[in-house]
Amino acid sequence: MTPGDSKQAVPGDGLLRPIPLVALVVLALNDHVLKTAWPGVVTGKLSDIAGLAFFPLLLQALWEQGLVIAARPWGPSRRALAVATLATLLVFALAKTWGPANELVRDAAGGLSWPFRAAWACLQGVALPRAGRPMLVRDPTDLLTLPALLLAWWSRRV
Amino acid sequence: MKHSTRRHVAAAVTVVASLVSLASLDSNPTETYTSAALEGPPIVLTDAAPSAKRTLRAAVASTDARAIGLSVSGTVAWSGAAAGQAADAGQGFGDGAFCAAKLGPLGATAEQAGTLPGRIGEPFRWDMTLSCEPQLGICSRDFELDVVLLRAPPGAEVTITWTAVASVVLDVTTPAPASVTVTLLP
Repeated sequence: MTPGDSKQAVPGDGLLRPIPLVALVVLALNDHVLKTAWPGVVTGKLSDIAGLAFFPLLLQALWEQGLVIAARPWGPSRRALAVATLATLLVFALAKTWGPANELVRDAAGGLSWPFRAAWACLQGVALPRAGRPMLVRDPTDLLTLPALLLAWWSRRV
Repeated sequence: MKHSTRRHVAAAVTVVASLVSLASLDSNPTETYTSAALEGPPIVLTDAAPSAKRTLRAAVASTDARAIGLSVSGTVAWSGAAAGQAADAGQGFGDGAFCAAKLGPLGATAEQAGTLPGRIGEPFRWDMTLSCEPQLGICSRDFELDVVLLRAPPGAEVTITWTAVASVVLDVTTPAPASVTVTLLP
């Protein structure tokens, strides 16, 4: 990080670089349009690649925003990004290969997404959804997409 | 971009990225695959034996199964002296008797099972779908077909001819399964 970067830095600005922004758009587009239009291995893996390219930066951004909300000192940290990348790697790899980890991630995702699904149901005036668990496919071949994590690191240079 | 604006944009992008990440889970499209039909031996019900149970297993070798279902269809017919008497009296086969079937997960409570009538002389179809939790790449669910003769003329013999087809809902972003099967358990 250069002194100029430090002067301009804001919490979560790791997500404002081209790679995570493109990855975010690709993930949303692929999940909600491309997978339905062209279901298959390519679209199946594309979401994993896009997700891995920005998820560590999202974790880092949430950490930085959390520090600001807690009125704690913060600064762009390579260590935070390293921890976020390692955590993403471990959780992704275990969820794709090990049943109990897959179940745990599904439980966590179901719990985290329920408030949003409930809010959406309220807006539509329909009954509140049950606290379900999303389906997370255990496919070890998804581990081939793990090098996409390097994009999160490379994005700091682009 | 001004520093304060950049700060707000970064916060907004963080929120959007969080929502997109959550929405990304479970976004894979699905497709339903069906098994070859299993023609079961006819079920015969009489006054002396007015009910029968059959256990069926629907199975698929896949880590991607989301739901597995069973469809039982066929016809209900009756015979015996009572049938002849009914025919002489000008009654249709559907007039004098009917049976009900409960198709549900083995050992389940009534709330989880579906009960549907089958009128004699008419084709019937009973369906049940259950979510599937693949374990070690194999997803199988046992269904119980519980058929009860509700009303029939004395001496009638009711014969249910039936066929079962299993179906499985799979994630289509991974290869299709080798096969979906349905078997009749002893």
